[in-house]
This record gives sequence, C-alpha cells and structure tokens, in this order.
Amino acid sequence: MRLGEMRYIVNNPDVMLRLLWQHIVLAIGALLIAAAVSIPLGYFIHGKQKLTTAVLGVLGMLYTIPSLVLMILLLPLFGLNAKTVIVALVIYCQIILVRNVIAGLDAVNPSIIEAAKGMGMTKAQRFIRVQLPLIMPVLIAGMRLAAVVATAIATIGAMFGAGGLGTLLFNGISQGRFDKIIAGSLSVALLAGSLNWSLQYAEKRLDKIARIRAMNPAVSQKTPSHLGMRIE
Amino acid sequence: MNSGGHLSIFMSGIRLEKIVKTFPGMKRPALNDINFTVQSGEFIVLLGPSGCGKTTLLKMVNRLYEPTSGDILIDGESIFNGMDVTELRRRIGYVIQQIGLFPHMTVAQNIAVVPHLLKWPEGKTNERVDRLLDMVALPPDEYRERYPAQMSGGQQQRVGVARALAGDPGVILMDEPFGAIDAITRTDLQDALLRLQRRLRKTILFVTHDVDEALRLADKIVVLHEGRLVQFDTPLKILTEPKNDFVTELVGADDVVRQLGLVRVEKVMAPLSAHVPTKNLIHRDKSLRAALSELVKSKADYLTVSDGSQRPLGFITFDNIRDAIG
Repeated sequence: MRLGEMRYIVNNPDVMLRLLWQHIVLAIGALLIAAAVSIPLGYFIHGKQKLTTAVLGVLGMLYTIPSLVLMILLLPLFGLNAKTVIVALVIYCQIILVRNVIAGLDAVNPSIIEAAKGMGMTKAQRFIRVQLPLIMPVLIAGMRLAAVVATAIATIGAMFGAGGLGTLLFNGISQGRFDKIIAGSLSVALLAGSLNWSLQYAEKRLDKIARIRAMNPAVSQKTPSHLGMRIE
Repeated sequence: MNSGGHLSIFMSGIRLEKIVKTFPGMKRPALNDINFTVQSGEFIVLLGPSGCGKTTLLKMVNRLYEPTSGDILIDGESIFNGMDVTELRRRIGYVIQQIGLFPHMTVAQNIAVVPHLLKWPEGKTNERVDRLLDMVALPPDEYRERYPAQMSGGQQQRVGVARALAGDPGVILMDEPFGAIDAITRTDLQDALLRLQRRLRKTILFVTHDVDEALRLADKIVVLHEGRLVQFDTPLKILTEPKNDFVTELVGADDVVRQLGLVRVEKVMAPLSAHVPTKNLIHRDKSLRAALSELVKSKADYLTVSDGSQRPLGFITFDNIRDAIG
C-alpha cells in the first residue's frame, strides 16, 4: 500500500477519533445490551426443550435478515438515529449469545446444582453464585464472536444517522475518495480485530482458571458450534 | 461444639410417619408406609439394593422430594407445615456421592457457603472453616486456598463432609458419600467419620448399598426392600436375628466368620468393672475378628477396650463374642 492512500488517517486524526468513538459506542453498547438480554432469556428457556427450539428458531431466522433490510424495518419504530442501529445489532447478537448461555448451562454438572439446592440456596443464589461463574468462559466465547459481528454490521449504521466509521466508507464511495475508503475499512478491521483479541485474552485467562478449577470438569470446555461469520 | 451449638440441641430427633411415595406413571409405590423414629445423635444407615427407595427416602428429609402422603417431623415439628424449604435445608447438612463441590470456589469458600447463607459474621465463619478443616484432617494452611480439582477424591469428600457440618446442623444426610471412592480411602473416611461422630453426636442418616459399610458405621440400620421397611435394628440384631430371608441373604447372616469381621468391639464389650486390671489393649473400632485373633494369640482370658488413648472403656472375652454372634 502506498503512503498516499493513508493520508486521510494521518491528516484527520480528530475526525478519525470521533468516528471511532461513535463506532465503539454502537458496537460495545449493543453488545452489553445484548448480553443483558440473552443471559436471562437463555436462563429462562434452558431445560425447556420445546421452548428452546422455538426461540432459537426465531432468533436464527432473524439472523438471516440482511442488516440493511432489518434496519429499514426498525426505522419506523426507532427513527433515523443510533437507536435503530443498536436494536438491530442486539437482535443479531441474540442467536450467538443465547445459544452459548444454554450450552454453558447444559454443561454444568447436575450434581453441583443438587448440592447447591440441598444446601439451601434459592434459585437466584444458585444462578448468581454457581451457574453464572461456571458458564463465564463459554459466555465470553460467544461475546467475542458477537463483538466482531456487531463491529462489522455497525458500519451500515452510517446510513441511518448513527455515525461511526461507516461514514468514511459511504462518503468515500459517493465522492470517489479512495483514501477515505481505505481509512474506513482499515479502522473497522482494526477495531474488530482488537475487540476479538482482547476478549480472546479474557477467554483464555478464564479458561486457564477453569481448567485449574475443573480437573473433573464441572463445565466441559466444549464451545458450541458457531454460526459462520457474517460479511456485509 | 461452641459456635452455634444451640441448633444441635433444638433440632435432631427425626420421626417418619406413614411415608408413601408414588412416582407418576409407576404402578408400585417407590416407598410404602415407612415408619421409624430416630433419636437425637443416632447414626442411622438406610440399607438396601438399588431401587429399594433409600435415596428417595433420604431426599425427603431435606425436601428434594415430597412424599405422596405421610409426614416427617424433626423434633416434633412437621417439616411440611409452614417451614421455609431453604431455611430447612440450611439447617440440615447434605453430602452426596458425586461430592458436588463448587469448582470455581476454593475449599474455604466451599465450606463457608452455608455460614454465608445464614449470614454469620466473617470472623466466625473463618474460624469455623479452619476448625472444620482440622476436624477432617486437612491442615487449613495447606488446603484453605486450594481448588477442589487440585485434590484427590478422598480429600474432596473430606471437604464435602466439612461443608455439610459448616452451619452446625443437628441433622446430616449422607447419600452414598463414599460410594465413588477407592476401597482403602473409603475405610479411612469411614474411620474419620466415626471419630467425628463420636465428638459431635449429630443425627446422621446415611444411605448405602454396601453391607459392610452399614454394619461398620451404623448405630441402627433401616433395611429397605422394594419400597418397604423390612427391619429397623442394631447391626448386631440384624446379623443375629434377621427378620426374613431377604435380610439373611443381604447381610450374609449365615457366615459367622464374616460377621466377626464387621462388628466393632465396642458394640459387644462388657462395661468396665473396677476389679479388672488393664491388659492387652484393643481399640474400640477394631472388629470382633481382630479381638478373637488377639485373644487366641495372647492366650489372655480378656482384652481391655480403649479409645486409642490409654483410657480403658470396657473389656471383652471369648464369651462376649460367642454370645453376640452365636
């Protein structure tokens, strides 16, 4: 790559930082909301076979709707702003996160839950003190994939008034400015990469602790088969 | 016990009245008209082949199962009448075969679970954890901060027992606690449990299908067969006066030599009389077989029974052994 095409990044650090920040708020904000929705949802449907199949079916179907279409469908409800984009991202993340929550809960050794019950923990105490810590590694693995998906799809957000690094891409295309396109795509890729790496680091740390803690495994470290990456 | 010892006084006797349990879709009830009374501080073993209902019965006492009909009273109070179920469970120790330690918590955190649920002050809880680790022969400084996976199965179950004792419950339920542990370690754990019980005098309900274990540990044995209570008696009575062919077969009541190996000296020893001089010490936990062997070897006419210190507890003669088993 010739330096000339990097000149936008070098010459406009303030714009770059502003757009990067917007993008991070979109992606991370959506990820956190998605986690806050998927953990109770997964906990609630876990163990109810029919309900699980139905919910995962619906979430899987939602995942197949192209992001542009989903955001247009959400537009009348949330308006031309970041809200629409965040809601769309939350919906996309659900299938990944809910599946991991359920896989994690399924893998917790039933005797541990029986012990917790027999000792007089309430349902809530069992979840907070026992199940949640034990599913953490699997949950983080799901968050990692969801973070990459959210970062990629948040790019479209620029078309819906949410700003973010997508702004550079779309402006670049319409203005024929190759340097803007390079700046946009490079920074999205870097952001997705660094989110992936940092969560991978967290996952590895948790995994290592989990392995020390679980020679006779309370949670098998088998992560669920993930959906393929989504490329928009 | 000093800390929280009051619980043990208030809550310990158990009475089961006309317990029936029918699982949906089953023709025969899993438990049929079970009645027995356990005195405070007794070690009761529920014995029977798999499928006899012993685990179901045990799990009714902490309400992991509800009976179809009948009542369970702890110190005269029905556990089904207005008693909060989590409150009840916090006051009953529970040990299971799969051990079920929380793998993400250290040994100390595992033991402290019930004290935390009972909202004990931190200092009291820590003291309790150390004392319990001492009791189950795991030096606190070495084991407090370990994770369960860093210990052997036998050590883990010692923690399991300590955890069940943590809230100083009057009643402890043990569901085949040593079933998954190798034979040598199992014997160690049984000995440790007997020693502990001698100090703590908890009311223990202990499920096993291992006849030898039942005979070694129990003050009284509940023999269950196909959901019915067949016999409720001391180990010695079960061996010498089995109620029916099933019990005879189960405990091998015909095999006198085997029986000698299963009955503890303290169960048949004669009380100490002042004029008997101490000689040829034998530990109270030794089997009658060991006593017999010692009597023959030493050519003495009796052995003095001790508790490991030099303190005599009683004495035992050929006649005691013959009368007990014969």
